[in-house]
Amino acid sequence: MANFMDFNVQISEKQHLAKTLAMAAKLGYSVAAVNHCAPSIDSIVKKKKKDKDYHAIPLPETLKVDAETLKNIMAGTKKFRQLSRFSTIMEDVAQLQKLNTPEIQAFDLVAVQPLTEKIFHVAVSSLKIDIITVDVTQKLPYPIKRPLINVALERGIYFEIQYSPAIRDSTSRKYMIANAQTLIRVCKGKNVIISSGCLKAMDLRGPHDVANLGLLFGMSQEQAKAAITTNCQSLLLHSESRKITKSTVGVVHKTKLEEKDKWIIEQNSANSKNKSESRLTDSESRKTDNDNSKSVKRVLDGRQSDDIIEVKKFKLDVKCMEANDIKSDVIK
Amino acid sequence: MYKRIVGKGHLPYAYLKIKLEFEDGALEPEIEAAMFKYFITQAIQSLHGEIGASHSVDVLKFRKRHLEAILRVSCSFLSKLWSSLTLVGNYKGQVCAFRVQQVSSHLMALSSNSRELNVS
Repeated sequence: MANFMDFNVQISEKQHLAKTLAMAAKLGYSVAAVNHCAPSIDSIVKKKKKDKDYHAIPLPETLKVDAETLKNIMAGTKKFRQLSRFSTIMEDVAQLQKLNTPEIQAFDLVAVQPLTEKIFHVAVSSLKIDIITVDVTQKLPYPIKRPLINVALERGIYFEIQYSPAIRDSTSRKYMIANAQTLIRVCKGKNVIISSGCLKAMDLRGPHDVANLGLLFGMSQEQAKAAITTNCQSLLLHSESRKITKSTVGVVHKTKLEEKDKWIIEQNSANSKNKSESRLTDSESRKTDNDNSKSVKRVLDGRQSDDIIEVKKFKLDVKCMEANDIKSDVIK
Repeated sequence: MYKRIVGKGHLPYAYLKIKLEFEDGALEPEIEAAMFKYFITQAIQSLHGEIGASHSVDVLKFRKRHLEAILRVSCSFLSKLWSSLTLVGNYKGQVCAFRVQQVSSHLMALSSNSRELNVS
């Protein structure tokens, strides 16, 4: 059975939050993301601490409830996982760069709610985010166009519709239906997730109810179900890849291996020769983008596998080319 | 070997088993069956208007103590009824929520719920 996920549970007091998560587990969700919403990113980044508006970005871990409470929540359900999520409202292009700070990127999910068309454009095409939130409490401030949606499809960014404001009052219900229908008409039901955005446990609705709500917005049955299951799953994978971009694979001689990485060889010596060789070529082939890798590979093939030690993951902020030069030197 | 299967379309009715839930610890108001139905009709009318309200929704069974009910609607109207139940948020100012427990086109299927089984 598919896992149901809810990617927007608003942060509240720990006691309330535990209650809400328990309700989510009871209704059949297996993943819930606790959302920290910053009304404006200006107030949290690069401001003096003396400033009145200053509030620090919390650590992703502090959003979640502790392990013991989670155990109580999980009683009766097979598995339940909580995630952390950061979301903010964007109104100025100058604010965009601030999203790239490591504090924000450390969250499991990063969401942005653009207020102008320009920011929507940038958010879709170049920002390091996972989710674009569509405001459901007011009229859409910008038109959504198909070419931009195509870009989002390509980059694996998802659009989010929240349903719980609609439960609270009838004006936002009107806007929610209107905005959701517009969005789904333009993107043909793809790349949409439906989440709660709930403040209280009673704002949550069961996953099947939410899937049915998708039908109201003009999705097909499969799309509506995908909006709370498979789309969320691929969103998780996308956030994973957001965190590990700018990493590459390197080859180091075993004599030059650092002390803390020695365990790799011990484990590998048990493996057969063929296995280690094929693993190397595998990882080498990932770097198809430059010629260097080819030569490296050739060198590797000519050598005995005992000489070549391990594929090690470097986290690099410098360009890949530089990294490759270093590596080929080591081998020669 | 071929087997001929003739589909006769969906069945005329859909049956829902629903429960009206209130917040933990809140005093649950007493609701009569007629009041319960009126509440549902209002929910439909607020979301789907006159066209929605023109469909008939039958309350086949109502358990007052648990605030549980079994509804019957025509199949084509199921998704509209369900969505209006989903968006219900309060009953006379009190926070509440409809939990749809089972949906089926056979009334018999509602007699048991495999999800509530406790496997020991």
